[in-house]
Formats: sequence, structure tokens, C-alpha cells
Amino acid sequence: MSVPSPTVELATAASFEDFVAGQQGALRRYALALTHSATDADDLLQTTLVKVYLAWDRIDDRSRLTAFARTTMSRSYVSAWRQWGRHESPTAEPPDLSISRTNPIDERDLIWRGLERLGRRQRAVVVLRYLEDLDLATIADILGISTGTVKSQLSRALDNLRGYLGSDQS
Amino acid sequence: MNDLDDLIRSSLHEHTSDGAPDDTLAERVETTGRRVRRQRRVAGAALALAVVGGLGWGTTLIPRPVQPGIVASPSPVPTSPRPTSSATPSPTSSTTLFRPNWDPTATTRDVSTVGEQIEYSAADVTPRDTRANFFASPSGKFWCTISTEFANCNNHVEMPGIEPTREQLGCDDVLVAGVEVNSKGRGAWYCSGDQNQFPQLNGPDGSGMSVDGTLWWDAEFGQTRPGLQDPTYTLAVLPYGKTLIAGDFSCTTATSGVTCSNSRTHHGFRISQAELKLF
Repeated sequence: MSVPSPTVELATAASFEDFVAGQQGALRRYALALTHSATDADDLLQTTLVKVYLAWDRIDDRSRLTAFARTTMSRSYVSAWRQWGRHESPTAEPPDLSISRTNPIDERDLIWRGLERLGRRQRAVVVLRYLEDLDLATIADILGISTGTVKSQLSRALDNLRGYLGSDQS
Repeated sequence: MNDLDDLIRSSLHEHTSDGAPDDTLAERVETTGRRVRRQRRVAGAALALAVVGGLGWGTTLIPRPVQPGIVASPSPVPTSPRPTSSATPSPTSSTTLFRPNWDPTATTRDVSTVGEQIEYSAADVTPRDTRANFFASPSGKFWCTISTEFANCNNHVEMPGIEPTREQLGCDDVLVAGVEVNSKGRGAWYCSGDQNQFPQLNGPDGSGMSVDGTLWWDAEFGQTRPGLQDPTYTLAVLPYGKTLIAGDFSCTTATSGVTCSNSRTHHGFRISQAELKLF
């Protein structure tokens, strides 16, 4: 099954208000995928937008505002431990597998719970790859890491998620 | 494309539906942005310094200036952006800073006249302009600020049983930030809505994070280390046994923790991951 990615309109916003109005839905979706918490997602979104606001005049190419916001949000999430998911701790322990293995809805829930247990960088890589549909080089640019690191992080994340599902899905 | 890929995609989309648009979001962000800009009020002095040059410090002290165009930065860098979307007060220009002729072999450095220009305010303190100097502890666990109005440290590690919750501290919709001592009273935990220490000599993109705020640092007096959460940061570290002084305030690092105090009131704090002393 394939789910189309949300249409992310390239921002050519003339004003900050236009940018927020046009992009807040996509950015909040991304924040929610990172934080797994509506409250934390709102905090992360607002913090990101403040940084966009403060950098507004430095961003000459308005068509790249969305990319800038996504990059800022990604790095804020990965590097700023305090605000988001502070008490999370990645664990190798599989979740309680009392869920039916034949129901795809349950499996989607299981994947979501598995994502919660990934480290921040692994989770960010997975979200950028599968929610934002970005290639590895773009993900590397956003997170400020090498493409090789993206590959290894993604590979480990998928291994972990397979483990959570309890069987090899590949 | 395999089943796991599809499952991940569908899971992410299923769990991240768009909410209703928040029509007041831009307004709230602009309000916060204006407040942050007032607090950080740096006005490109760093770039001015880089252009003027020849003011007596080595090139290693001046992080690369902000790149034009897109600069991926996890936190605002010291520039003077001026959004076009609303009437906002222009940031106040800071005066050009001259780096004092510090003795590189001394263990104490007086930073009273340097630092990033900010407006400091607290519940019991009238807002005042001051200059903030940022440093990290050698472990990287504490990011601190010292100025002539206050000294504080944010903990970048868990301190279970020591750090209060934001409910206990009454932080409302902001967060427990760290411990602080100012001109009034004992050292105490405080709340803040945003990062307010910038002890990074560079960000992940190579840009400087706060040139004015790390003017105190040089290779003879200070050290560097990678950030704990993001090793691409280079932190301006105050080594063990070294002291920064700003007016009545001083901060010293030791293996037992970072101690900051007010010599006039004799109040302050000593913070380590295992122990906190407020006095």
C-alpha cells in the first residue's frame, strides 16, 4: 500500500503571515511525527517559526523558506534535548506484542510505537525519508551529517522497527 | 518498495493528520520573536567587528560570518533580521567592542566590558541593558552566562530529584531553564521560554553563534569540546580552575561543578549533575 505524501506548496510567501498560513499544516505534521506529542509538536512548531521569523531577512530565496524551516525544525529536535521528549530514552526492548499480527491497522500502530523508541536522529531520518519523501542526500543536508551516516541510521532504524514487528518484513 | 516501507509511510500519515489551522499562530510567533530580538539585541556588531578587524585578537576568535541566503541554524544567530510582516522595533545597535588586553597566563578574566548586548529582566529586577558572556563547563553538561547583572547555568543533562518540574516551579507555559543568581536574593531555579545561552564558537553549518558573547575565549585561556547532544557544535569551554568575572559576579569551574556567585550579596549556586547547592 502506498500513501501519497502531502502536497507541500513551495512557499513564495511575501509576508511572514502568508508563510505561516501556507505552511503551518505541513510543518505541524512533521513536528508531530518527530515528537509524537501534540503539545510538544506545537512547541516545536512555534519555536521553529520564531527562528524563521528572526532569520526572515537573511533568507533571500523565498522559495526555500520551507526547506529552511524544515531544517531548523529537524536540528532543533535532534540537538535541543530539553524541550522535546526530554524524558524519552531509546530502548531495545520490544513493546508488548499483544496486537493481532494480521491487522494492518494494528501494525501501523505498532510501527508508530516503534518509532517512539528510536533515538532522535534515527527517528528524524525515518520521518524525513517516509513522511517527507526526501532522498538521502537531502536528508544529510538537513541534519548536517554525511550521506553514509544517513544510510546507516536508516538501516538501523529499519532493523529496530522490524524487531518491533517481531518478524522480518523485508 | 516493500511492505515495511509502506507500513511506515501509512503509519506516519495516519498519526499526523493536519489539525485545524491556527489563525493566531503567526501573531504569537511575531510577539515572541520581537521579545527574543529585544533580549538578544546584538545588531550585527559581530560582522562590524569582523570588517573593522585589527582590534587585537586572533582570527580564531572570529567565527565565520553568517552565510548569505539559506543558513541552516538550530538557533538564531546574531544578526539583525527585520521581518517585513509587521511593524517591529529596530534592534538597537551595540557599540563596537574592544577586547581588553587580558593576560593569557592568568586564571581569571574580567569580562565586565564585553559580551553580547542584551536586556536582562527578572521577576524582581527592573529590565536593564547588560552584556552577556557565554561559556560551557568542561563536561559540556552546563551552559552558562555571566554578566554584570546576573549569572546562570542551564543543565543539559537530566538531574532527577534535583531539578524541579515546571509545575513545581510555576513556569506555566515555559520551561525550567536552570539556576541563576542576580542582584536580588539567593541562587534559584528559573523559568525561560527559549535557549538563552550561546557558548558555541560555531554551529553545524560553520557559522558563529554569538561572536560578542564568546569574546572572552581564546586558545590560551579557554578550551573547546564538541556539544553533547550535537557534536558538530564547538563549545567555548571555561576550563577547570579558571574564573570569569563581571562586576559583582564570578563563575568558576571545578570537577565538583560550576560555581557562580555575587560577591556583594554572597549569594549564588554550585551546580553539578549529582548535586546542587543554592546559597
